[in-house]
Amino acid sequence: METPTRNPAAAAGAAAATRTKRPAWRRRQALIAWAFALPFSALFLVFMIGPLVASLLLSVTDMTARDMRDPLAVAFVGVDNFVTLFQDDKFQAAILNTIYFVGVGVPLTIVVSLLIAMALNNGIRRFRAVFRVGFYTPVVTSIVAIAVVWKYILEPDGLLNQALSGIGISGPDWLHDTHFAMPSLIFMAMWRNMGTLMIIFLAGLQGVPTEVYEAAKVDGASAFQRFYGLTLPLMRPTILLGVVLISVYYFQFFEEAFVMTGGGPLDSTLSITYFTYNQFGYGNYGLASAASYVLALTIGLVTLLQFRFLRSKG
Amino acid sequence: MSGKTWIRNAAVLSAVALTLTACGRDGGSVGDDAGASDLTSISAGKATGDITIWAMGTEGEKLPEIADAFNDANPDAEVTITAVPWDDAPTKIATAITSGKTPDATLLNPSALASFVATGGFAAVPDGVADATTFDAGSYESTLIDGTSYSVPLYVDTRTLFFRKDLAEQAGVEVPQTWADYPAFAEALEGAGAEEGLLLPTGELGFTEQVLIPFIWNAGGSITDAEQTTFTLDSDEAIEGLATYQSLFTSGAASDTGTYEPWGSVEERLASGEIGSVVEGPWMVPTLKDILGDEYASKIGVATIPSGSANGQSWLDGGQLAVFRDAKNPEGAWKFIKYLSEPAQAAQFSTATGDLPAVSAAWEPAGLTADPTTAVFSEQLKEAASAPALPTWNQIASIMAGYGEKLARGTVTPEEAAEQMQSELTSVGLD
Repeated sequence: METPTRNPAAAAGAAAATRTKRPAWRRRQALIAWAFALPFSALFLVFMIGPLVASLLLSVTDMTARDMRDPLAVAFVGVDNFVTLFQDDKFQAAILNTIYFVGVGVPLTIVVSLLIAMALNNGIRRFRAVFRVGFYTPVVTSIVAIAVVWKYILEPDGLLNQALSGIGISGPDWLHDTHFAMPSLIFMAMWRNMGTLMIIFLAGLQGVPTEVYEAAKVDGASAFQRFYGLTLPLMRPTILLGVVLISVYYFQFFEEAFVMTGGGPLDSTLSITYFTYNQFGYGNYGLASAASYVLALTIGLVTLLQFRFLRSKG
Repeated sequence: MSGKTWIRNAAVLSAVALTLTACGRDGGSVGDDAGASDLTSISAGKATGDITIWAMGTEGEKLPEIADAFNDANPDAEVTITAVPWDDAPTKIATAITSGKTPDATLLNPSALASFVATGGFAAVPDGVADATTFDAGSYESTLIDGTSYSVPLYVDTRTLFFRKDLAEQAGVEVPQTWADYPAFAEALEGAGAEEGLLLPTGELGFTEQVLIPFIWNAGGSITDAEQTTFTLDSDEAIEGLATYQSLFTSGAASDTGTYEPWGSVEERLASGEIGSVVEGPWMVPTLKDILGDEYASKIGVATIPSGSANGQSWLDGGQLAVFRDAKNPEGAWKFIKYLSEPAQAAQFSTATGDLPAVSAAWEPAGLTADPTTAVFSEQLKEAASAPALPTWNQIASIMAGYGEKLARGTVTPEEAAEQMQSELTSVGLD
């Protein structure tokens, strides 16, 4: 092949050109790319970033519903809203309830979904599609429909207590007892969300090569050793994804409490999001925005920690 | 940081700082300047132009019938009624006021009026729309904010005692006149076959405080003082009222996990005997008549609520029509409201919706004076009071509902509840 001869001066000029000024066709390409991205970016800026920034600004003012017609005439109060929040009894209760919900709900959902995914992957041969649809249906069912059914089941003389009395236990009033309302909601949330994680874990399990298991079996590893030593480490990225997804969702839990207990017997199911919803209802816009930012920062922090601990090593 | 980054950051910071200096309260109250543009009186003559009105629930379904008659009488005007679900109404009205794009008028509950008036979103009622004496005194009072009327009452409701008349006869007891005698009455009903003598809603915002607050009134207490300058929940009378409320649970007359949900179940539970009595509103009557048919008259008794040591005031609620300050056709809207407040139209509205009309003269044409059940409502309306007109009412109601639940479950004493409510409500404020 013939190497083209190059004029040293032209080469130097071209090199200088690429450092400071892009050639015209590159610029046009970039322009076309931006034009394609513009509709989405514009919508994203207006409807996602705009409200985000607006609520951040709201959280450092004392805006209430009274200021609706004149939103700019509000006073800047700095971190007062945040201080008020952390001194508020209900917010403190909401924080504890949210930690309770996430702390119990996330491990429970992960474990159950993983077991179901493994069962579907290895054990169940027939009607696999039926099981998959069956486990996933709660995810896509309306929360209102779920609430109607679950309220009926959890009534003092509902299905669950009838079943329990059949084996001799007299069940409590699940949704009106301050000790049992939250566990009932955690269980319902787990039932509702294990479908999502099941799908993710199934995909992850199917990504693990079977030769690895065969090799382990040949080496004499028991089922538990295979699980603990092979499946879990290989599934680490998938489990990280599952944990992050489900914690972000559970930190913001609101629907279940809203439709089932209305904040719970004596605020025992009041979550941070529910507290924020109430404050918006009262018209305390500044305080409510501050509460939602507290939640957002918490979720960000927890997710960061999860990435630290669960990321694949090496 | 390079020079460019430093300059860019400084530019952003100064832009933010300048924006923040644009904010700041100037000390004046919100409604001041806009008041000047409100109509002070409406002209005589027919209405003109398009008139848009938001209405909720059954009222939203039935108002178009009366609107048609108005359209016929006023050929140059066209009334459009938009049906809005009750749950969405506060948000929709708030959004409309914020954006300035409002309909001409809307239906709303009296308890919501004060907070919207505080934003300056509603216009004061001009002269010539309706005389104060046309309406039930209590309902007219609930339209007054600082002495000015901002809405026109459309319908009223008050809460009375509904009980199983047949079970009471079977047990040989009569409706008690005072709350002190109630536990015995409830026990008798339970003996005659009711599972729960009395149903009191606990832990349910929207109803718990509506049932709790009359107990405070019945003992002679009140939520605020007469000038609405301070809360008065730590008075002895209020504590007495709260104690009476709590005694109904401790005596076993009512369950501490009582609830009105699911909506519509109260009528069924009363008809089936699951509950022996309940304090509820006029909407119970059509459903009970549907369920029981001919047995309604023999099984269901309606009475005014028992008294406390001071009075027997019950909760007064209802619907009002208010015109937006940013309305495009306020004159047309007021003329339609005036039309609705005439006895003939008010009676027609009442018959269509089953609501009790706020216009006193409409009761007779609507046939309400003849019906024995509505005669009890009429009696109760003479002794009924509504919530104080406070812009922060939503939050106050929610706090009081929370304490209602705590009292029901016995986690606070009446003294503690009164003290804590007083301090919590004071920190929320009266405006």
